[in-house]
Amino acid sequence: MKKIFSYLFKENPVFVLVLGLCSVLAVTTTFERSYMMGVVVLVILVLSNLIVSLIRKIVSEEIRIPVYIIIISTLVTITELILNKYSKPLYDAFGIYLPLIVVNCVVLGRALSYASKNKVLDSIKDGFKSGLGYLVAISIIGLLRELLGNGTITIMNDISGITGYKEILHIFNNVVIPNKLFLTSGGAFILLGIVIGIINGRRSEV
Amino acid sequence: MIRGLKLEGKKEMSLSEEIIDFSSPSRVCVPLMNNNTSCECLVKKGKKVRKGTIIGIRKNMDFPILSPVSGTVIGIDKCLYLNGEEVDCVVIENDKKENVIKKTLVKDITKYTKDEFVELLRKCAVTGMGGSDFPTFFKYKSDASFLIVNAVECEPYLTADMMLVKLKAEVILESIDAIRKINNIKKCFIAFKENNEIVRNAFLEYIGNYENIILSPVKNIYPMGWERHLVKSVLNLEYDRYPSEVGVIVNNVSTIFAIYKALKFQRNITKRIVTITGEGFTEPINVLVKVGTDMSSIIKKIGKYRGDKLKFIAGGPMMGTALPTDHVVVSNNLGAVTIISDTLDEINECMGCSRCIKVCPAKLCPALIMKNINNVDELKKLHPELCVECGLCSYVCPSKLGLRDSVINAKKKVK
Amino acid sequence: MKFIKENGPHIKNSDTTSKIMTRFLISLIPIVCFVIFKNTVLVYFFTSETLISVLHPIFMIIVGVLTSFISELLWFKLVNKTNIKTSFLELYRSFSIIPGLLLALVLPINTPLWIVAFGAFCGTIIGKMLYGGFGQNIFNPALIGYLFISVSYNALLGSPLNAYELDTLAGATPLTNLTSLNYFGTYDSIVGSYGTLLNFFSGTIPGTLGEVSKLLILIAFIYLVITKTIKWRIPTTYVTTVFVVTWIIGNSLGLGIWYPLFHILSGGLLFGAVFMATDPVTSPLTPIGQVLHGISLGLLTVVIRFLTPYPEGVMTSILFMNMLVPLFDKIGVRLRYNIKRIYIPILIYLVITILLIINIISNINNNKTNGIDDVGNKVKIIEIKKDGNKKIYNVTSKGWGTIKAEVEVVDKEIKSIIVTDKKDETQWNELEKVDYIYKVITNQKDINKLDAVSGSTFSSEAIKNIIKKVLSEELK
Repeated sequence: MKKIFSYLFKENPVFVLVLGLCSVLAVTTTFERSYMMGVVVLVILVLSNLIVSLIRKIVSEEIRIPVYIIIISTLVTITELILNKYSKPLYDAFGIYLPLIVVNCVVLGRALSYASKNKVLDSIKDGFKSGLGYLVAISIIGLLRELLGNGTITIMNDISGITGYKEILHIFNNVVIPNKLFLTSGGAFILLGIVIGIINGRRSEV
Repeated sequence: MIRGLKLEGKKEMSLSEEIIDFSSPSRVCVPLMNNNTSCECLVKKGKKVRKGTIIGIRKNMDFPILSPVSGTVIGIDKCLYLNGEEVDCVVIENDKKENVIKKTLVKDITKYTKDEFVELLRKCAVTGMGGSDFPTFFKYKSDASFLIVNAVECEPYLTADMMLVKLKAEVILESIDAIRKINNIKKCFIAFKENNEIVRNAFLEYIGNYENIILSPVKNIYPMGWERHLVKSVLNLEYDRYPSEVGVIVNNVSTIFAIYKALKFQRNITKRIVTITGEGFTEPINVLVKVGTDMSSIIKKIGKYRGDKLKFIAGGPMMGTALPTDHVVVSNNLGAVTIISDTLDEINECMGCSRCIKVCPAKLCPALIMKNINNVDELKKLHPELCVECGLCSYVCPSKLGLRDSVINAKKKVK
Repeated sequence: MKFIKENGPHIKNSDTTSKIMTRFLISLIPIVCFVIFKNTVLVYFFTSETLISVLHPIFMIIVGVLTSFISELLWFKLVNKTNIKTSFLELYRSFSIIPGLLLALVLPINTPLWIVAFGAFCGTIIGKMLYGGFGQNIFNPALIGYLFISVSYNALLGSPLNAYELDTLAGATPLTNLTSLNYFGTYDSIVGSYGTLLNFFSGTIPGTLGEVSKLLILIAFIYLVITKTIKWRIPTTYVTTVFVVTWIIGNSLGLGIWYPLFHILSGGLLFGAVFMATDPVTSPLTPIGQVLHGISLGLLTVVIRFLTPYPEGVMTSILFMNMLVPLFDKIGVRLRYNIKRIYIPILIYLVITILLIINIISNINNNKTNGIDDVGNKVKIIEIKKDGNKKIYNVTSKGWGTIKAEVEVVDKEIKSIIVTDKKDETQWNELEKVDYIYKVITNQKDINKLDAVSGSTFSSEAIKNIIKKVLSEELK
């Protein structure tokens, strides 16, 4: 348990290394979109780490970045097509930020720094760890932003076409008026800053 | 534009008709210091000295330090100097005979040549008595066309120069006239505060006898006594580093008096007027004391301290140094001691009121210098080296910050 | 005897920071009194409002002051962990009530109390304490509070009219009115509906709490300058710049001297210039920097007033220019030692001003020539479907953002308007509250007489324009 906590918060790509903020700030207006983005990144991370690790001995040092980018963008394109087929609303909501996963530092970073040097199983493990960290971080931000900015928590709405389950929780029930600030990118920055501040504060205490 | 601030004068406190003579102490401690440079001692314990005997020398300028009394050298001791440091002093037992090396009396003091004059100033160890203690002969080495006599005394509380003018106006004018003729100076100006009637009347009585000496009243602001301000105000000239660039010599009025002594008797200055003043002292007054006297012995004879939490300041309240004890020795450049009670300040953050910037006579930005104190590159652009340490920035600061200290600090960093 | 050893100078000026801040507060007292007079006493005697409701502005001020005081106290207690006594001392030294007071004075009268508290809290904590407290903040704390309110709860900000004015005056504040007129009109259409310019000067026009009485602000300004409390260069250059630029604009449009005066006397210009732009902590230190700061504020205010849909612009300009204060100080320091270079900023500002004026004038002239066709510019008919005697117009209309709607017309009469897309429209909530669309449909024959909903003038206009366009299309 301690180990999980450790790599979720001590080595979290978003909160600690402050990587991959583009999507964190852009798509986290609802909880559902946030965790779906997290899942997509998690899947792509694991797969890209797997492939990169498999071909690590074939690819020479000089051309590895273009090769990795091609691998990652292939994976992203596949994901994009799948989402477009099965969940159009989510695909529309993600918009440009889905293809932009290609240049997400978390994915390329793990491929370069870990998967290209380690064995297949370890690389998958590493991809899963980082992806999980990203998933947790983006979900927290999304949850807080939606809760504070709109007063709701969307458990499942855009992807209800696949799952057949739809639920949006109205938390404040119009008693507290939600603060629109948190729906803007500026508000996302402030929130992210506060969360990072709290985590850093706790880390230094421990 | 002349920047500065009108300060409350508080000069009437120590003004009196007479000055009390305390010029025969039983022993003196002559600081081996000149212009904040320590000098080499030339006498040994037990040596008999007369007034004018060379007891020390500033090597790099070949500038002597002369004995103010006749008597026996007891030794060398550390004494409190006016800058707050303990410095080496030659301690001399005073035999009160006032023997001089050579008695001379020059009838016509205008008969010197320029070279003789400069050499005389060096031999008689004439220094700037307004506070700088800078060897005066240096200023007369180059040719000048104007002389400004500084009788402004812009610091509050201080009246030593005023008393000197009041008592010796005739002699001072004679001295100025002699300096003018010897150095071929075109015009001499006596600068004093426009509201200072005592100085004006004292000079007006005799000035009719002299040509080319002009009384020029200046604005009653602090720091009007700063050379740059005086040159600007009297002659409307500006210079880069030293007034000699535009052919101007600025001398304090008490330095002029010291030059007179040198010209007339070929002797060094052995006594000076010191103002003892301030709310913390019961009997504010001007006294005539020998150079090297321990100030505390005189203060004991005159009056008592009043109140608690007092500050003993060598010099005026703006530029003077607060000393831990009152055992300061009188040196050539000590014009006053001020005893005032400590100000209770409520110190706060800099609120950015920009008053220090408005008031700074050197056109500095003290608040910005303080903000950038750790950033040397930025400091260089703010030119802290121009600071004259007048202290107005700290004076006006509503947050009671030590702006002058940080500017002085920045000055060191930039060097 | 021992003496105190301390670095000089050993005498100090008697003025202190707390005296300065006290004078600042004293200068605000008449303005607060005027607020109470105008919005409480007058309203109580001339309308049938209850006592509690007329006391609302007083509560706003009290809530603002108390919130900023308490939030700062909590900060000292919880974050700095000081004990109560030192906390109060720190509070006294950091002048905690000023942000709350200023914030309450720049809000419109009908703002809910909890929004005031929210703004004061954000202003104090985020705008001041997070930066390190008094003297360290980059932005004016009161304006940070205002920013947070306007970003978070713009739709909930109440109208600036008190109950008495609601009976006598129509609709919006003078500046909103000017914006909806496309910055051009006659004296009667711009000033006339609020009385004369004297009313602007004395303060009997709608506006936020503190900004209306220019007379008292002017008196406060003179008092503050005489007592050397504020930097006089900033407000004077600020107001002068706005005056000169609007005078040139007005003059070239053939409008009299009243046009620049209107710009100075309406809105929060004077209040912002005197009380907020001069905030010592967040304004430049060097004299030249202050002048540049003032001029830039003036130009930015003109830009926001004339070239964006926001009618006011004072608060935004001050907040924006707070960021550039270090730059102005740097320029100020450079020029302090090299005054000959002063021609560079003068040239730059001259060019900017000229370009700005040309741009604004051509903009206004464009709108003027298209004057009658203005509705046609804003509303576009995308398609018309015919279904028997029923016609359905698919239209878009520009308000603050863009509205898409379907309009159903039977026998040249509008039966219904269905708004299909209002995503871009920020002020929509206000319209829905009063059922504005229903009002519009019932009043379609006399649409010009229908007032706009205060607080969402642009959206109201957008809906009204749809009606105008569709009816004129029908009548062809």
